[in-house]
Amino acid sequence: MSRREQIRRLGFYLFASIIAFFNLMPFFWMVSTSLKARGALLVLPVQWIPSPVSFDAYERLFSLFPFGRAIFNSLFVASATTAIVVLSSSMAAYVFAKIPFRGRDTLFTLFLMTMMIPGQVTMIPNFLVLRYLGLLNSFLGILAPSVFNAFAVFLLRQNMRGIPDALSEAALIDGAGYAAIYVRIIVPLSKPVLSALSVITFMGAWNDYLWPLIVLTDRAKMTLPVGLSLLNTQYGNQYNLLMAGGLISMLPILILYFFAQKHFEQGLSIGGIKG
Amino acid sequence: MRQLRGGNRKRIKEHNRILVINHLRLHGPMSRADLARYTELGLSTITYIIDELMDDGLVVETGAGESSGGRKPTMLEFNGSVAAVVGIKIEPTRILFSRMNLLGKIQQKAAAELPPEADSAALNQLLIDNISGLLEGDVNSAPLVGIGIAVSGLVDQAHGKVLYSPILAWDEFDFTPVSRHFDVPVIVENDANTFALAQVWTGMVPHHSSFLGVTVGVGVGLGIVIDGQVFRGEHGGAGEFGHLVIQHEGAPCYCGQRGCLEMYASDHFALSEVKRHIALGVPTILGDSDSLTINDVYEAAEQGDRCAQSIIYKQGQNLGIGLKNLVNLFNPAAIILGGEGIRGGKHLLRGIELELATNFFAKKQQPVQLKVCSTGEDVWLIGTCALVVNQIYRAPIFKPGGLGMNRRLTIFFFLLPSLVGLLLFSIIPIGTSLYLSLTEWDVIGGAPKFHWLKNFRDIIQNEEFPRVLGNTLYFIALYIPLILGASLLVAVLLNNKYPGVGLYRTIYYVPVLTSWVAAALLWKWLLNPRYGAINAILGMAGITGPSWLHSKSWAMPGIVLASVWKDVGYFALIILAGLQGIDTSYYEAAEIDGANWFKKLTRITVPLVTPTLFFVTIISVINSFQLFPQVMVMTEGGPGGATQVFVERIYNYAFRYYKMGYAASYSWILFVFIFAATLIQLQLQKRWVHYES
Repeated sequence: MSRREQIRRLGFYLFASIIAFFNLMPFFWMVSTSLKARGALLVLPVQWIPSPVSFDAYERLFSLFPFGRAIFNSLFVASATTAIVVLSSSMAAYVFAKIPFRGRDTLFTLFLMTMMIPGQVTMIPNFLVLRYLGLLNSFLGILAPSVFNAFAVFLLRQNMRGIPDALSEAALIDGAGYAAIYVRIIVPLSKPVLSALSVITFMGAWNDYLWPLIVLTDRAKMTLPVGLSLLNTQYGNQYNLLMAGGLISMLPILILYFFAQKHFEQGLSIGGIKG
Repeated sequence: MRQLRGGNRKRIKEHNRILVINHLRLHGPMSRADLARYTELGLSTITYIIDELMDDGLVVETGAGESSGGRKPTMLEFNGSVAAVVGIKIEPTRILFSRMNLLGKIQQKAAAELPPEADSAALNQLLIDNISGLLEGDVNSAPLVGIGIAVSGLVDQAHGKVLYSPILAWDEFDFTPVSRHFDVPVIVENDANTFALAQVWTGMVPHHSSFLGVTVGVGVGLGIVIDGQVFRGEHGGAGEFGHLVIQHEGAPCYCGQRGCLEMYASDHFALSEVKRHIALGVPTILGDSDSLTINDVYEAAEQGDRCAQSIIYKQGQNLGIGLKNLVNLFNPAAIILGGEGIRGGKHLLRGIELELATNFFAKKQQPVQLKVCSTGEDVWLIGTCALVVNQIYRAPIFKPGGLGMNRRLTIFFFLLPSLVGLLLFSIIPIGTSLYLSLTEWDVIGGAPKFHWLKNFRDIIQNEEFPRVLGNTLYFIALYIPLILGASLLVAVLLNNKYPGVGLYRTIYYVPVLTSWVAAALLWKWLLNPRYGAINAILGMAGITGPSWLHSKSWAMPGIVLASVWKDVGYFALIILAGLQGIDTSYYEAAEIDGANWFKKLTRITVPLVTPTLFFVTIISVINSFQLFPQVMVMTEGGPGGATQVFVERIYNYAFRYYKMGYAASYSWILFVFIFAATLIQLQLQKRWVHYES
């Protein structure tokens, strides 16, 4: 290895490690804080490593707030949202990609045009629609709007167009109907993009804040982000508590990430357009 | 493209029924046992189908056949007279009509003169009258199931039209009035194709073989049959054999080309050659070249006129050259000759045979069979019958035209969830929001009060608005350069192949996965002026950190810091994908030219990654306008409104102060800003984004 190459290599590890430090230091701080007793929070000089280590925050977290319930709510809302988005969008995408009919392109253009309107514009009327339907403060209310997702339809349709028509024609001759073709051919062949879509949808729903904040008011129905922000307003200076809560809210996604890193990265790069 | 239809039990049954009919019709008579063997259907299926067909009168028993030991089998036959087909051949001067049974047996024939210059309405009426006459002559009055029309030129079979026929001088002739009058399908086909189709029915060639049907006369035509199917080409015009060019810079043809085969192998050739010979004074019994017809030439040849014979021989040779080309192209089992021109007889054939004797396959394969069709003018009519019957009994795998009910229901069912969502959560809300933006409404008390653009005026004139806009622009001004620089740097680092890159990549990505609420709580604590980690670290370096979120001037930079930390991994990954798309040959070339890494970064990497950077900029500007959770959790817009931004305002007006109309107007102003910012960037991109051509 040439000297120059050695320097380059050294430079790489130096820079990469400095950035990694800035990335991880906050998490270290988060873990460290969550393990401090309340009294150790406001001590100078700052304690980097808590002494003594205290699990007080974790215990109090679950007694002050139905945190276990919030984890369940978040899991439920994120999974259900993902299921709805994937099912509804893939069905529509199948029609837009494979079944021609008059006015199809116009309808598709309408779908795309709705993507230009930011969510904040429809947020207030959506709230009113749910209020009118009596769905405020219910999971159904949180989930309902995800039945229409123009971005997901667009993404899947682009992908499904790449599936050769010969496959569906062969299935047609073998006696498959449109539903069977969708289930047996289109969905299996769209698996990579469906997994990517599932992952970003799940993550988006898991981390979503504004919409559940508007719809949910009942503590027993709150998702993790809403619960955390409520904790923030009630116990704003008890950071050991808040950090413990934040850590717990991160864990499921992190676990999922380590198992499906590829899908996450793929999903988030194609999800770029979503904004 | 034609729509294939689905299969199910009923359709499979239909399919088998047709299979049996076709076997009997083309290969019958045969016994049930033979049918089962050939169709590979079960004997019980065959028995069942045959019973049905006999009930319908389509199949009849014809008595006992030869026994191969044991009881003599009962032979079955397709009953052609169950229905009638009308076949029509249109020639330059006359029209031939015929009524046939489904097996192509001609039961009655008629001819009518083709009036010159007749318009299409008159012609269609002529056809209708003659067909009606034929049908009246049927004592059994078998129902008419279809009309087949053989005509020279280019046809549009799907629409029952002749597109163009130079010999008839027709342009766009539509037979649909005939179809409508008799309420049966009218199938139009090029005459050479019907000629070829008829060959299978008259037993000239076996089924499922590949052969060529060639017609000579006024023109030269070709029907190509591949594996028993007429090959019609993508648009139905395949087989324009007469316009194969056989002579470079040859005689001009009416089609616009020069040296077409038709100029050398049709009646036209024989006639003009005879006239030329007479003019040259070649001895011949033919005289008076002005009133000469092709029949005179044939007669003279028969009577031993050498001049006529040699001309017909030459015509045959020319045709043979064309045929040789076809043989090399299709390697057919046989060539069947037909048409008026075959009256040239042995002289013509000798010329053809001379040329055909040598072809690419001649050494290794049996010579291609050259057969002359002796059926005469009936052959065209039989061909049209085949056309209609094949259409009726084709394998039922294509859908009848139009969208079926089934398909409509499917489309509706599959789109339903999205359509309901589109209506309920996009179209209605957008409309409602527009309406609300023009009203004053507090949700609780009564209906919205309409007051035109008052909200917009109030928002823009309020002293709060410049602050909100200023805060947002301040955020953008700090955030965009930082996030672009940082993500580019991280992406460039990750674009190396050193061991451990994967681990770094994972680490950089963790903040992206964190929910904004958790990240914002974390950063609120990190930026705590006294007890937070950031100021503690700054303190170690001897710097007294600012009071961050508690300070009007430092609160927004604090939020920017948190945002950059959370987003850098995400954008870095997108840029990394862009970097990996850069062709490595650029770097290799630069290395040869002695460029160092910095030059390579600034001259190659950055310019070529600008499309990705542009994409990242667009998204991050849109995201910046929609800044919300970090503000909500970290500062709630404070201190003193220093971090108030659009979405935070919209949320508070709508859901804290219940000023729905006002909040809706605010959201439309946000939309206008996002839209304008995106448009401006699309305009500006020309100045800095480099697209590889």
